[in-house]
Formats: sequence, C-alpha cells, structure tokens
Amino acid sequence: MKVLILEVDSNELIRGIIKEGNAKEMPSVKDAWQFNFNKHSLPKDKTAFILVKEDTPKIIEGCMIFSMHDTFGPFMDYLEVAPHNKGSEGKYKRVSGCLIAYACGLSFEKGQDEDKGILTFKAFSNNEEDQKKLEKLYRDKYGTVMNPWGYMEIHQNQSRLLIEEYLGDEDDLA
Amino acid sequence: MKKDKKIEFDDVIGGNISKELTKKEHDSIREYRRRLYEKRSSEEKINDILTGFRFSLKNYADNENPEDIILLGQFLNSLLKQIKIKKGAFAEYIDISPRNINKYFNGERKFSIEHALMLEKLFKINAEILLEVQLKNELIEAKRSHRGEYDKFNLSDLLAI
Repeated sequence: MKVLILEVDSNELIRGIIKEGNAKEMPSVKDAWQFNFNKHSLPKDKTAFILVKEDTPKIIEGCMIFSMHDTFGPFMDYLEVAPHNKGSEGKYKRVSGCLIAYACGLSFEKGQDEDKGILTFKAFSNNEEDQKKLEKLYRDKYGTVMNPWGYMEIHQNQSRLLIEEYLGDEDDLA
Repeated sequence: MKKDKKIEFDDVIGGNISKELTKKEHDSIREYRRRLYEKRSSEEKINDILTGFRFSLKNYADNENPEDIILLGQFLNSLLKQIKIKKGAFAEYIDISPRNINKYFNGERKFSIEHALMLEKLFKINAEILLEVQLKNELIEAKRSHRGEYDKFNLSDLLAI
C-alpha cells in the first residue's frame, strides 16, 4: 500500500510503502528497537508489516504486527517506529499513523460480522498514571475508545477517518 | 539547543498480553461486540463491507509483486457473498448474461470499461483501480507465461534498421 510520510527536516511528504515483512528482515532489540519483531512475527497467526520509503527499501521506518485474535478479531499486537524516527528528533513523522490506519483497513478486510472494522490493541505503560495519560492521548489523536476490559478499540467511523487521512483511501466517491 | 529525545506516545504500541482471557471474559466480550453490531444499521454494515472491499483492492493494486494473483472477479465474488447479492442478479444488473458471469469471475472474460464505470457507481470505488487490478493481473500472467520471449527487443536494433 502506498503511503506518504513526513520528512521533518524538509517538511515534505515522501512516498513510502507498507508491505508484508519476512522474519529475516525484521528488526530486534539488537538493532536498538524495543521489540523483537523478528521473533514476534514468527507465529503463523501473526503477520508483520513494514513501512519503508520508496527510495530506500532496505531501511525500515516502522513495523507493525497484526493478527486475528480469538476473542477480539482484528488485533494490533505490536507497533514501533524505527529508533531514528522516535521522539522530537525523529526523521520522519506519520509513520505510526500510516501503520495504524493500515491495521484499520485490515480490520475491515479481515474482520467478520460484529468485528468488521473494529481494531483492538493494548496500551502498555509501567505505571497507572502514565497508562491513563497514554489512553487519553490515543483517544485524542486516534479516536480510540477503551472497552470495559481495558483494551483500546478503534471503531468503524473513526477507522475510516484514519484511512482517509493516512492512506488517502475512502476516495472522493465515498 | 538539544531537543528532547524522549519517545512519543505512539512511537511504541502494544506488547505481550500478560494474561489469557478467561472463558467468562471471552463470552462477555463477544456479547459486548454483538450488542454493538446490533446497533449498526443495515446501511452501516454494508458500508463497512465496502470499505474492506476498497481497502483490499487498493492494497492489491499497490502491491508491485503479489505472491498470488487475485482476479478482479474473485474480489467481486467475495463482496457479493458478503452483501448477499446473487451472482445472477448482479450479472443482469450490469448487462452480463447470467450464464456468462462465471467466465468474468474466473478471468476467462474481461470486465470492460463500461462495466468498471457501473461498478464505480455501485460500490463507490474508482473505475481506474478496478481496471488497474485487471490489467496488472494480465501483465503478470503474460510475463510469467512468456518469460524471455520479449528479451530480443531492444532500441539499438530498431535504430539500426
């Protein structure tokens, strides 16, 4: 899927691609990432996606692992942007937004009946106060709601807005 | 001045789910989802299916090197099943003989520009993407079945004539 990410230095939108990644090319803590995507992508029920720029296809800008959860249906297990994109000194922005919107798209494609278009994920933090802040930020930026079991969910209408914003879909005709 | 390197809230999401859900939790979550679903109108449910259809077509069209070929007819067939429209009724609606609709679905016959324009209106997807998927598949098949056959063509030879 073709996407646009923002180069912070030039403030220009740059062409990127989200595609399936294979375990061999996935990053790990050895590459200064927080998650071992190479291991987490191994189970057959998990699919890893990477975001790369069109002109540097070997450099991973962000990773996301998606699966169909037995209880929740479409589920985003892990998402991380590359170390060089983290924080206020990050080189490219919109990476996580594009990957989340892509997961939203998958939730419409792969979700069945009552799960169609609902993406679930877990907000993790080390303490309760940070956890609350995190949940508020997800609500404000991505329109997530928290279900009664403490999982974050992005529902259909909000999903469509994210797809429109980050993937340029839900085209002019919709 | 050195900028703050602290990571931002959406730089890292998720992690290991610390505990398995119990059967009781599973059942109550499913019940919660069913209640949400019941509140959605028929129109909203169809719109959700169409969003999935559009996403999967665009995703496929953007994929430069798909592992497996997915025919436009397969995408349409899957959509019709989800929105519970019979193939025959669909065929008649877009001026295809119901006897021939399977030939369109299995790629034996190609959807025309006119068909694509009808589908654009019906399913709110750009006719261009529909035709792009069909053409892309034709190209992949041609390249695979005529591997090397076109290597003999080069501009120098043409200029030398």
